[in-house]
Amino acid sequence: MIRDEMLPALQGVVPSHIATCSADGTPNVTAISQVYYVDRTHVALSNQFFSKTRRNLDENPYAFVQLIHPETAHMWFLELRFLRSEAEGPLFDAMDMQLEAIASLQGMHGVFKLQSADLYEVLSVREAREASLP
Amino acid sequence: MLTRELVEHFGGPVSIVVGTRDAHLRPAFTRVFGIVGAVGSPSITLFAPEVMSGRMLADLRDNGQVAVQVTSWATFTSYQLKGTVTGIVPAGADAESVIAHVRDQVVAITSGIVSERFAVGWSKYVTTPAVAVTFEARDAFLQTPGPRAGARISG
Amino acid sequence: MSEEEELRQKLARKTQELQIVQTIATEINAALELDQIFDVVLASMDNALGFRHAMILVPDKTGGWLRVAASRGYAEKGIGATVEFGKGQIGVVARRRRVMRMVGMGTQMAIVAAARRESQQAGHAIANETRLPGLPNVRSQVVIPLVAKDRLIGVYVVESPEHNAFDVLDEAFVGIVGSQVATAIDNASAYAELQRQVAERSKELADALSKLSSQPRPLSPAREVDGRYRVIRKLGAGGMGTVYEVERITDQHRFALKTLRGRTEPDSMARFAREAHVAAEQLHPNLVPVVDIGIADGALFLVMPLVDGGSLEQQRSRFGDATWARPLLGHVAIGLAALHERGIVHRDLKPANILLDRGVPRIADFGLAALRGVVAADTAASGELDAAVAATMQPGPAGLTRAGDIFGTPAYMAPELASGARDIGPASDMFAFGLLAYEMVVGCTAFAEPPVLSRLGGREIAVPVVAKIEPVIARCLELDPASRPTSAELVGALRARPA
Repeated sequence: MIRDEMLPALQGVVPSHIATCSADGTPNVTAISQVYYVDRTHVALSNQFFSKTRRNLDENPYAFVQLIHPETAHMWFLELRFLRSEAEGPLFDAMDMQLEAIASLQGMHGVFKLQSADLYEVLSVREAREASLP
Repeated sequence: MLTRELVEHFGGPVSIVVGTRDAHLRPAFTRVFGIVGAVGSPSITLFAPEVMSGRMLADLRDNGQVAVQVTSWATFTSYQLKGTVTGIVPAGADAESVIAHVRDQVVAITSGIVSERFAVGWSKYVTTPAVAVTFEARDAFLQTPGPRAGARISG
Repeated sequence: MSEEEELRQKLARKTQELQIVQTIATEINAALELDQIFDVVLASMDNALGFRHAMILVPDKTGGWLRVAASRGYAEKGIGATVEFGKGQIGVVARRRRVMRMVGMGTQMAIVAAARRESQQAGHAIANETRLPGLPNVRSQVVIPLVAKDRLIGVYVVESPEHNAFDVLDEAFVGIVGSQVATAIDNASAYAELQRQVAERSKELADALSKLSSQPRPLSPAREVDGRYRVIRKLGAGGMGTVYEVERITDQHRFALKTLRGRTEPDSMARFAREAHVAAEQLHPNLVPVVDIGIADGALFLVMPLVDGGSLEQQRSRFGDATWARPLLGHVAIGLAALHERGIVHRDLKPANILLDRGVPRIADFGLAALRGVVAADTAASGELDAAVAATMQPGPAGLTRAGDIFGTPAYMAPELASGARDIGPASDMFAFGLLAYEMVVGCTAFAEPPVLSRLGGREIAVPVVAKIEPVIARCLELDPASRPTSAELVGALRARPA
C-alpha cells in the first residue's frame, strides 16, 4: 500500500495532517511531526501534544492523514484505523530518537516529548493527482 | 468573535486544512487555499478548489460540521476553528485575489525554508475554480506546539 | 512471487551476508593502526554489501563534538567536519547509543529543513550549508553507535540514494560489525598510548636492571606491587615466570601480573625485559597485550589483561571437534602472522600459551621471543638488551641453548630445534602450529613420538596421517623447514577454504 515514492513524505520535513472525529460527530484536524513507516500496511504517528486527537481515537478509531512530498508537494491521502498506543519498546524508541534529532536543531528540547507511539493500520492510500497541474 | 490577530493571521502565508466527517463518523481531510473573516464576526469563509472538494462538500451537506486549522509558514503559529457550515456557493472573483495573495507568499517562503522545488510544486496546485464555504465559528483554539497549545481564543 | 517465497529468498540472501560480515569482522581484527581499521571497515562493507557511501565519526577529547575520521563514496571526504553531540541524528545516536534507521528521505533533509527553520525564526540568513559529507539525494540511512566497554568510541553512518535500502537485517549486520569496529578502535587507541609509554620506560628499565640483586620474594595475597597493584592470588607458574591475579589499586580493575621465577641472572632479566618491550609493541587482538611493565622488590614484572577464558590446554576435551577448532585456528594463524611480520619467532607455541579471551584466541608468553636478525634501534637501552638476549641464544654443546634449559615444549617443538640450528626461524613456529592444529582438528597427536625427541634419539620420524586435515596444515608438518608455508600463506589458505 505505502509505496517507496511516498517515503520522503513521512520524514517530517513538511508536516503531515490528521483528521479525526469524536463520538458526538465533531471533526478535529491537526498537524503531525512525522508519520513513521512501520511496513507497507502500517504507520505510527507520534503522540506529542494533540490530546484531543487521542481522545477522539479512543472514541472512534478512524483517522485520515494527508502527506506532502517535500520535493514535489504532491499529496497523498491515507485512511487509517488506530490499533494501539505504545509508550515503550522499539517503535517508541525509534520515533523518540527521530523526534529528538529534529527537535535538537530547533532548540525545542522537551517541547517535543513523545508521549506514545500510536500504531495504525493503513486502510487505503490515494494520490491526489487531481490536486496539481502536470 | 474573530480577533484582529486571527484576521491578520488569515492574510499571511498560511497553510489551511479542513477536517470533516461523513454520516458514519469517518473523518476526511481537504486542503484549501483561502480564508477570510471580519474582526468581531463569527462568520468565516473558505475558498476550496472544486477539484479537491468532492468529499468535503458531501460531508458538509450531510452534517455541516467543520474543523479548520490555519498555520503560518512564517511563524508556525497555528489556530484551529470549529463550527457549523452556513453556506456553500461558487466562489466569486474576489476569491481569486485572496487565493493568489496567500499562494504567492507561501511560494516565496517555502522556497527558502523547504526547497525551491517544493515551492514550485505548491504553485502548481489547482486552486480555481473554487467553492466558497462559509461557516459560523463557535470555538477557536491556539494550536501552536508548546505549553499554550489548546488554549481557547476569546474574541 | 508469493510473499512467503520472497521472504525465504530474502532470508537466504541475508544468511550469506552474515557470513560475509563475519569475514569482515576478522579482517577488521587483523588491522592494527587506527586509520587501517577505518579504511578496512568502509572498504569491506562496500565490497561485500554494497554500502557505497559511509563515514565514521569519533568523539573529540572534550566529548562535546564528533569529528569525521574517515569517509567513502562522497564527492567531498569531509574529514574533520564536526557534529555537535546530541544534535541532529548523528549527535542523538551518539548520545542515546541506539541505532537510527531512516527509510525515506533520510534525516539529512529533515535536519537541513529544521536548521533552516531555526535560522529563519532567529532572524539569521538562511544557510544552506551541510558541513558533513553526505549524499545530496540521500533516501535511506542507518546510523550506528560504536560502543566498546561501555564507552562511545564513535558513530558509523551508511547512506543510500535508494528508498528503503536498509532493512532491519541490514541494521543488525551493521551492528555486528559496529561492535567489532568499536573494540578494534578502542584497542588501537589504548595501545598506541601504551606503546608510547613503554618506549619511554625502556630506558628506565635498562637502568633499573643493573640494580637488581637478590632473588625476588614470592608475592603473597594482599601484597602491593610497585605501589600500583595488589596481589589477589597466584594463578600459576610456568615458562620463565609466576603469574598472579592482581587488582589495580586506583580502580580495582583486575589484571594478570607475571614476575620472573626466582632467577637473577642478568641474561634472564634481559630476555624478560625484551619480552616486555616486544610484547608491548604488539597491538593485535590475537596477541595478549602488555599493559604495564615495571620493577618492584628486585623483580621485573609484566601486567597483562586478565584473560579469564583459560587456555586451549583446558579445552582438550573438545579436541577432535573440527567445527569448533577451525575458526580458532584461523585466529591463531593471524596472531602468528602478526608476530612473524615483525621478525619475531614465538618458539613456544602450544595450547597452554593460547588464551581464550571471550572465546577469541590470543597468543601469550613471548618468553622465548628472539628477534630474528633485526635489532631494535629505538634507544641505546634496547641495543643493550638485544645484545644480552643474543648472547644467551648461542647453541651449546648439547645442541640446546643452555644446559638444563629447553627453550620450548618438546611436544610442540620442530625437529630442527634438536640440532640447535642457528637460523631457527618462523618455520619452527609453523611446525608447532601444524601439531596444534592436527590435535585440535583430528583429536590425536600427529606423531607417535614428539619429532624433536625422535631426532635427538636418532629415530626415524613417521609420516602422520593427513587425510583429515587441510593441505596447508599438512604442509606445516613437513620435516624440512623450507617446505612449510609461511604464516601469511597459512592465513590466506585458511581464509580461502569453503565455510
